[in-house]
Amino acid sequence: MIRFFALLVIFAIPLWASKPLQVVTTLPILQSIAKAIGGADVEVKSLGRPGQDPHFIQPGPDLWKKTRKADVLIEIGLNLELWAQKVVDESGNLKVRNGQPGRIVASAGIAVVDVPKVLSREFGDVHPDGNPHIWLDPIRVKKIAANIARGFSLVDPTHRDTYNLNLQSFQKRIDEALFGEQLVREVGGEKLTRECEAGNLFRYLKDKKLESKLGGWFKKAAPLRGQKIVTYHKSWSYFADRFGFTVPTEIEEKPGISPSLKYRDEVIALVKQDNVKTLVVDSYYDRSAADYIAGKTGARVIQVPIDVGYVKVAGDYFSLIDYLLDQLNGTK
Amino acid sequence: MKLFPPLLIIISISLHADQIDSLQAQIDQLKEQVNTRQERASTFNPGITVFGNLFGCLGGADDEVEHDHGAEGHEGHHHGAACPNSLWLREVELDFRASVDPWADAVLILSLEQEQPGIFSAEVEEGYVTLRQLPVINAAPLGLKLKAGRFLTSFGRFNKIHLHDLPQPTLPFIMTAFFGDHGLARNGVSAQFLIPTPGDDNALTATIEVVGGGGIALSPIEDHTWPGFLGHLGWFFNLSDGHDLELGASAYVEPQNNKPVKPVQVYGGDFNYKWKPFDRGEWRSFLFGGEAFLANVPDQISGNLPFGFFAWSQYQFNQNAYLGLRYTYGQNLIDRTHYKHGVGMFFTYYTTEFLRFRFGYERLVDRVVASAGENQVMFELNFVFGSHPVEPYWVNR
Repeated sequence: MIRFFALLVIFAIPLWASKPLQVVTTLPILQSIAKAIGGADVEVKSLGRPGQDPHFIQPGPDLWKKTRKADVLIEIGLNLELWAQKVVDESGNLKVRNGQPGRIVASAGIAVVDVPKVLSREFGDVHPDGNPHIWLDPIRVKKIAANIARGFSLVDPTHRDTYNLNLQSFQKRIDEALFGEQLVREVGGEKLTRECEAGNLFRYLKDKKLESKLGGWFKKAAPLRGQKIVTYHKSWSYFADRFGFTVPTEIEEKPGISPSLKYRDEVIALVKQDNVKTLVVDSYYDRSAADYIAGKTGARVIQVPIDVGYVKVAGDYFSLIDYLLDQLNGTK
Repeated sequence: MKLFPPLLIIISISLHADQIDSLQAQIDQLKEQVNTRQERASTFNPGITVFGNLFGCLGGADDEVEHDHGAEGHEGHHHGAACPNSLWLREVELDFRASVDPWADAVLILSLEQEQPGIFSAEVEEGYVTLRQLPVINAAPLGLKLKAGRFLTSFGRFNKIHLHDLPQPTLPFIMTAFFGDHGLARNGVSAQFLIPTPGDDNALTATIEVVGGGGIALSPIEDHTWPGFLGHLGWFFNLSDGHDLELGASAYVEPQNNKPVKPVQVYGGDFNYKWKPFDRGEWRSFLFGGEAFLANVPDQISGNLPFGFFAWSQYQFNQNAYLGLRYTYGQNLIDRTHYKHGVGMFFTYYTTEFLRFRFGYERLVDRVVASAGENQVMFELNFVFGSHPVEPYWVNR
């Protein structure tokens, strides 16, 4: 009998010890990054489903239940997922409340754009802390991944080394995907990232005569550089900044407010004046206004997801950025 | 001496590099400070939201037939009977909420009402603390949420919804007939649990409440000594992407002071189906729901148990416009052979989630007085400003 219990304990210990960290994320994109950082040591579920509007996910009882036993909840923050607090409150899970180690704010410490100068509902559904769509910038995604790795290490210090190794590997993959393997090998991802952040990448490459070695997403985005593209919502600010195109205006009149007829005519005039060739609508928005503008101007409309999993070819972060660039270039 | 100029250049470059590094570090620090506002910004003041609800109605009874609804349990303008043919600020609600300490959150909702033009009242609609962990064990078993104070009880679904969040301009008359003008709002204690069930796409919640008795249409005695006991089970199913169904059952039991008198018992069932696709999710949705009520209070005429229900539906046409329908049926508490039913249609236009216009028409027919019908045209303007807590997950946007 004693032998039986001893065996039971011996077999039970590894089972208990190997229980992965239970993680929920607000969005599938964070689930994808968290899986890359956590590897086999975490089990990640996303509260939001592919294709859902991240601003308006219903904080229903199914989400309370998913959050109930989570060790970690990861959110973008910046007032994007206002619904997440309701989920946490209703779940009764104390580990993932605001300020707890189990609540990872992926945007913490990351520079943001579009911070409103005046806070008023007069300007629509504004995000008071700045534009939250930061994941569309691969450089910022490296910091999101670092925030996640730091958060995982705090909650689960026994696997700190694994998380850090996975982080390095993820960041290296981003560097190679962004700049091309050869350039990363010759210059180093860190140096290229610094130049990129300072807005000096192309001058630096020119000075060092390395322009021809630039590969990856930057090479793929070359046709977009200098272009003007009109988007439905301000979701594309970071992507545009990184890949060198500008967004002269949005189709929605103000954040969350669909365009009036008068405003739509103003957009048409601007599209013609700036010779805009592409109008981009996120998959969860209505495209009828964009179609109307396209009909009057000859621009083309592309409707794409900005999160992973909604289209099969964009199953993780890397394939998502590939897919978006292909769509914008009109190559696929 | 010849070495001096190159040395100077090297020192100068290294100084510059140091300065650049230092400046870079400062920039990084400033960036971090800018984007940690969300973690530092929680002031100790509560989040405050103000809701204003302007309401107007125009209508009257067929052939000017007068009914004494108040005495029969079909009272109050909320269900469309007593329309004053006027426009007035029906309600201003002040909503305060904040964390109290590491264990509790508090909510206080004050309502300034004008139930009829010129008749004002002020009341605490809700005021409670929610314990998110038990002080002694510092945990919340089964996701326990313990609430104490005055609150809208968990009988069905509409009862938990404030006037400004309702998908219709008024409460269905059966609810005011059974519970009173504001539904079943009580002082007491509430415990909500998440019951474990297999699978990720469903969730079972159980709520048990012990509240003060009396003071409602079914149990009008004000100085009631017995508490009321309420239970609600809700089972939520995510059927597939964009399709949700929730089924619920409620029971409310209130022993009476006078022992031989049977306790007041009300049983209810509720369901709600929601379609909200992911593509253009803020542009399209469809809701279909309903609630049924059975009171175990034998009426004084036939000795039977009064029953009532309402069913409703709402379709969203675009980002701003919704069309809703409601059918309500309710038997009188004193004589169940006397029943009333009616159908209403409501058009809602949101400019944003903070401003809403609603137009409605409802026809109610009373089945005691032959051909006694009432028609009511309604207008509602709802505005919200302040920190605006998330709306109930299944309502509207």
